[in-house]
Amino acid sequence: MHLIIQGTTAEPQRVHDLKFIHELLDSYPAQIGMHKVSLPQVSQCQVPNTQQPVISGFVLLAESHISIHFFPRQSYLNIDVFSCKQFEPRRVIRDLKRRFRLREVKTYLLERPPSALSLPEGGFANAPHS
Amino acid sequence: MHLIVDGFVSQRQVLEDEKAIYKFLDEYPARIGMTKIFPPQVFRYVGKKKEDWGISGIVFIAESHLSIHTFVERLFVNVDIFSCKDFDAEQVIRDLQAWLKFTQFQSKLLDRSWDSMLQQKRQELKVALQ
Repeated sequence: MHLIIQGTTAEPQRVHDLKFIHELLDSYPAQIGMHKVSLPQVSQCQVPNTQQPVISGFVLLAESHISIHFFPRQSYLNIDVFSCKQFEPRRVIRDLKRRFRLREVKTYLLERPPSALSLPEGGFANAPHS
Repeated sequence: MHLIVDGFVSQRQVLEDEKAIYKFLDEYPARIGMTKIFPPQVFRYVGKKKEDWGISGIVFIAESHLSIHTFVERLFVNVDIFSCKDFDAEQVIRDLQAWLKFTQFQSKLLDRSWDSMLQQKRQELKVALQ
């Protein structure tokens, strides 16, 4: 199951903080029953040519990964919660909307286990989600 | 854009080769004009069930990230190439095919740009005004 959340934050100052993102990546997996296999890595850099700043963070999970990319100029967040283990996407959307103060949210939920390849027309289970 | 490729391969060796996966994550970003911001992280994952194991790897690029998760006993792999910069998705699929030699795969391309959020917002406003 791969949940993708895109949205703008109403509190960019809160999110424009490497420690905040690190803390979330460190603590959130256990809250949804996932197991970290790496420490979170968070860094700020610039997108080449555009000089657009971006904060990127990820943590590898036994089941896959969680990643966050934050573009402060647009207050724009791109989040991936990807796990071969089932989780409750509605709960994760609710949690992350609250933690990041998200508005104008767009989400996708993709089914990506081996069995998904036998779906009719070779398609993914659903997208977009909401 | 975010290219998602999930597929079955015929040879398990390609899915259990940590060095080859590290090499791909280390070298491929430059081939598609992306800039790494960390060295790749690659781990062997062993689940609760004996057959549930594989290699997970991720590399962060200034533009977003590339990740690979393999499921060796199932001969299955999930690949994500996610960048805020455009790239030639068809060429990436050809390169993955040449390396992994899929017997069956499916791909999906998502637009996760800030512009796509703006377009959605405009569309919602248009509908609301009708």
